[in-house]
Amino acid sequence: MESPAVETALRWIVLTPLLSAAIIGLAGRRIPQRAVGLLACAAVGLPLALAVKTFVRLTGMAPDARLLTDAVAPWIAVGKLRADIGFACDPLGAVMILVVTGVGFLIHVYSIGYMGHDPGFRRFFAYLNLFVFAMLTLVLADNLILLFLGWEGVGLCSYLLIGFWFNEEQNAAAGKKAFIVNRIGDFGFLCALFLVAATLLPHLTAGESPFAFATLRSHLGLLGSVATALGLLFFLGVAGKSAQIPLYIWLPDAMAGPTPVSALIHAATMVTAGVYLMARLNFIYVLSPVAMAIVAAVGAVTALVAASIGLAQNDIKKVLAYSTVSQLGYMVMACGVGAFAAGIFHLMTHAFFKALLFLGSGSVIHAMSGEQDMRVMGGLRGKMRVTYATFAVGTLAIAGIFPFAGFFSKDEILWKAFSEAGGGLQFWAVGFLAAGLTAFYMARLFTLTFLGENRASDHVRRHIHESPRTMTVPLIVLAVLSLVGGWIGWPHFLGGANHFETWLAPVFHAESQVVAHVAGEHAAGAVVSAHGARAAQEFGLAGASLLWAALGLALGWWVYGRRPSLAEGWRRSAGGIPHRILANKYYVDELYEAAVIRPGYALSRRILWKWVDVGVIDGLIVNGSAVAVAITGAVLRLFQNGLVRFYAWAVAFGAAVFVVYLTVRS
Amino acid sequence: MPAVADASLTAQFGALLPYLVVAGGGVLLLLADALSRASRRDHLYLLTVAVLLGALAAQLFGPAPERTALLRGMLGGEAYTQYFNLLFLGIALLTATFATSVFERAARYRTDFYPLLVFATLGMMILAAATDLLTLFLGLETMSLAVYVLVGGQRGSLRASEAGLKYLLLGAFASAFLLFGMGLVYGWAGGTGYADIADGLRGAGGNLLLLRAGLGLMLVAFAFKIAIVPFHMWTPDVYDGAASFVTGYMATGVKAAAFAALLRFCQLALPELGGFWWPLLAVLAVVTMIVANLVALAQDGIKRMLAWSSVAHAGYLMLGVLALLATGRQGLAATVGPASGGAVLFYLVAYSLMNLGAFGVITLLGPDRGEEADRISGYAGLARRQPLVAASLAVCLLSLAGIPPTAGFMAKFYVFGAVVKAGLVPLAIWGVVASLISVYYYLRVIVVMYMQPAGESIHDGRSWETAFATGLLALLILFLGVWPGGLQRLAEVTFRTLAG
Repeated sequence: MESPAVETALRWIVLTPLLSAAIIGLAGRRIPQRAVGLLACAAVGLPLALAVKTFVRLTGMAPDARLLTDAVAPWIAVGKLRADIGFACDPLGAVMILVVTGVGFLIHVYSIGYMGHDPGFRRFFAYLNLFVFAMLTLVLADNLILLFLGWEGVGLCSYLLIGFWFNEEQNAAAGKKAFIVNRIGDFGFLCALFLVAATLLPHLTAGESPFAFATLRSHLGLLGSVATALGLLFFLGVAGKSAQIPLYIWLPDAMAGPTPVSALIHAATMVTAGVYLMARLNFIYVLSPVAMAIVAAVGAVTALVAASIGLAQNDIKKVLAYSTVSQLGYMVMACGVGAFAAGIFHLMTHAFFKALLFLGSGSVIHAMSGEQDMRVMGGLRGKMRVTYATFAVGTLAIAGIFPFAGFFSKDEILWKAFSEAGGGLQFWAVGFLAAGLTAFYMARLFTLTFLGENRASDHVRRHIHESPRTMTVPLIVLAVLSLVGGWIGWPHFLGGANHFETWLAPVFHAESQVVAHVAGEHAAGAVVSAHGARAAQEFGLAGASLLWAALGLALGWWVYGRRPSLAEGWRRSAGGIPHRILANKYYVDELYEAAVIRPGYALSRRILWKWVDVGVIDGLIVNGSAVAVAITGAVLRLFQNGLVRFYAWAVAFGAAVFVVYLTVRS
Repeated sequence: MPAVADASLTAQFGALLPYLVVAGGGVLLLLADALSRASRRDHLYLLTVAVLLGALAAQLFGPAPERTALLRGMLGGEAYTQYFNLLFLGIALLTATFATSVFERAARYRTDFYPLLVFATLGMMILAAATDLLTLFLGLETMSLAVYVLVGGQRGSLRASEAGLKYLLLGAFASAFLLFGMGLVYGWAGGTGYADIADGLRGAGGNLLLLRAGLGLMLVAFAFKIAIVPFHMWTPDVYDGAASFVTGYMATGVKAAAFAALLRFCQLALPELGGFWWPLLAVLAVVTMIVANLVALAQDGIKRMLAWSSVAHAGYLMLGVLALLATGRQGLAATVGPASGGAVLFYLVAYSLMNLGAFGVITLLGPDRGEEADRISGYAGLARRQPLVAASLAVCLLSLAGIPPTAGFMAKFYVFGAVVKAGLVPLAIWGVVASLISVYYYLRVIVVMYMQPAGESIHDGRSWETAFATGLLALLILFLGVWPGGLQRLAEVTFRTLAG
């Protein structure tokens, strides 16, 4: 096999934002604010240009040979265990870097306007550039260790940016929550790494890294026996990073950070790292039907539960946060049923429209003097034309209305959930239900915010204005992408060619082979004859979900725009209990509080602190050793008396011991 | 007679050039010192640097080191010699740099510092290269005599004079043991070359009593220079009394030279008798580590604290030597031996870097502070006043404590690893326990520097040369902590050139 082509631009894609972060972080105070903003944007713009160049170069290659590598330096080499600093870009990586740098660039531009009056402007951009560096490391790493470095790096930046306004305790607490919950996931990730090393190391020849993706791919036979364990351990990491049940609870709280952060990190890029990881490791997942089934089930349940919570939230960003959790559930479910390409497709379109929605909400919050409660908004349509129009595009896209981007990707997932070997009617049904809820809560959000009468106080109302150009231009670009971004995956049944799936096919080659192998046995001859029937089926399902989404939108608009009393009636129905359950997010936080945090706290307080720490450590070890040291010191000081005479005696004594010991010993 | 052939004198000249440059340079410096006026001492520094750099160049670009015996088996000319000569010359270069920054401000130091430093370095080079008992003694005394004067060489300082005198008296005492031991060994072997001893051991299975007694007495002198309990007692007094840059030179150069000589002696003279004294050394190493670290906990003065720390590090280093000796005993010499020896060589470099860095900072801050300069509490708030210097000192201290990602961590890792591979797991556990204790007193300085506000107005010394040198050392320490592989391989390959 010939070695893959080299592309040294990859290292610059990764390093440029790091360089800029270092400059801004170390010397930012001496640089004018304008220059900091420009530098930060340029440090994402240049990688974007390089990413496009890389993408173009990849398109010029034969589909199966589409791999560019850049080995930078050896890094860790302890015996057989080794990991190098090296980057690789295949079609999947190309999609990811385009999304990360593209959306990242727009959000950087937007942030110049949004953060313009913040005293932490420079710190913000240093963190934001650092995040882009870590995220690009994550997606371009050619081995799991470097990927993990990026994985932890984005986690760190997420923590720093959630708690960006750390003067308020609530924000700092949200940052901590995100960090700690992610630790649980990282524990799984680390265990998976250990398992990989333990499984592969005995069988590798010198010079092969057990963590390089190429090695993993070429030693699949060895991994077969541990594929289920590996898949589930990695999935624990995925559940933390991509906010899946049971670890999703940090993401809604993460909205405490500045809105561009919510858009970039907690919607478009970082939270999708888990989905990327599963797609990257698709060849391991397909070896374990059990792991796949669990992944698919968790994704489906997350999609539905999060969407239902989104129905009852009043904070505009909280609604979008639960919507993000729900959409991530879709992507995870897609990976679980074996439709990795569909998952990545949704990842991309979601990055467009969710970034748009978050930035739009940021524009609204900006105009509303920091107010986030939708109940006191309304009627913004007239005063914020651009925000209103682009937000409408985002809403249609996420609801899955043809021909907006969300329609193509969501429909692809629903169809694959129905038709893939690992899927089934139950997955389709759950996804279908969640799609309706999505349309409904988005219509509610849109109606409460932009339509009807303004319900804000006079003071706030007088201040409402359209946002500056640096904020609206990114909105417009994202709106265009939310419209046309899905067209590259125009499905076959509508006369398209689904370029997106074809593009990613080489990456998921192994997957399609295995699935074809499994499915092939009972469907060998039926494929061709069933083709027409399947297209009709697909068409029908797509039509149904389109109608269903339109219905959800219409109902949401009608209830919250025309019949507020009806909404109020729902809220009070059945004694208000269903609403209260949803508004309080099924009391999951409270459940964790009671089941994990309180016992842990009690254990820490009563036993670890009062008894172990105060008693054993402070009492026995610290004070005890202090006493022991004092006694030893006093004794030894007797010897250390400064008299040469005495020192000489010590030498003589030692010499005597030496000679006697050495001569007497046989 | 020597197993390796003697090269012709012209061929030897190239290999001997570094020694000649240093020796000639020392004489030249003495003359220059005598002839120049007191106000023109900058020239002496530049001349010293020129001499040391010249010797470095002669060592680096001279003939490739071979396994040849120099001067009829008196000195070894292998890569091992080259490795240590480079280390000693580097240490001397840094010490001269630290010293010159002090001389600019305080007149109480003797001007013959530079020639003495160069002669002491010559002694170290000979000591590390010695393959004969005579050159061993010659090197040891050349080094020691120069260092005695360096320690006592502060005009009008009682503490320095006291320290110098103590060191001289006890050092002479230890040298007497060494000579006596050499005499006995010579009596047994009939020759003074290491090869003679090795030959004698291979041939005779007879009475080893004389040899054993002789080796025991020689070990006393080694243990004294290395500062192993109970031969360490001079260390705190002498380290405390000497000028800080001299202390740094002693803690690194003298110790490294003694270890280099000990390793070479064990490897060349006693290959058949590797396990001869290891149980004794094992007990001493453990006692050294524990006692030194416990006493260091109670020190208020930073130089006394570092003196005890250097005793403790002698204990860790001894563990590496023990691993080597034990593997010889178990017939693992071929496989594990070079790793243990390489670990000691790596450790000595890392240890020199971090101690030089620490004493460099102390030198830098010291002279303007008077008698109280030494108290750890005087470092309060240093991080605010001189952030880069404080950071350098912090890196050195973390490295001394053995915390990653520093050279000190990797050094301990390799040594303890070698000890475990040699099957001496309990010793490795003692080593880890001892270094755990040590973390407390190293970190205390960092806490004081970073977390306590400066009490009264302290006038720190400032010197860009020293600040630059310590910063460079800190970077090197970090570099070796992250990419230790290169030096580790070099150390192991270098050590292999010793093994027969």
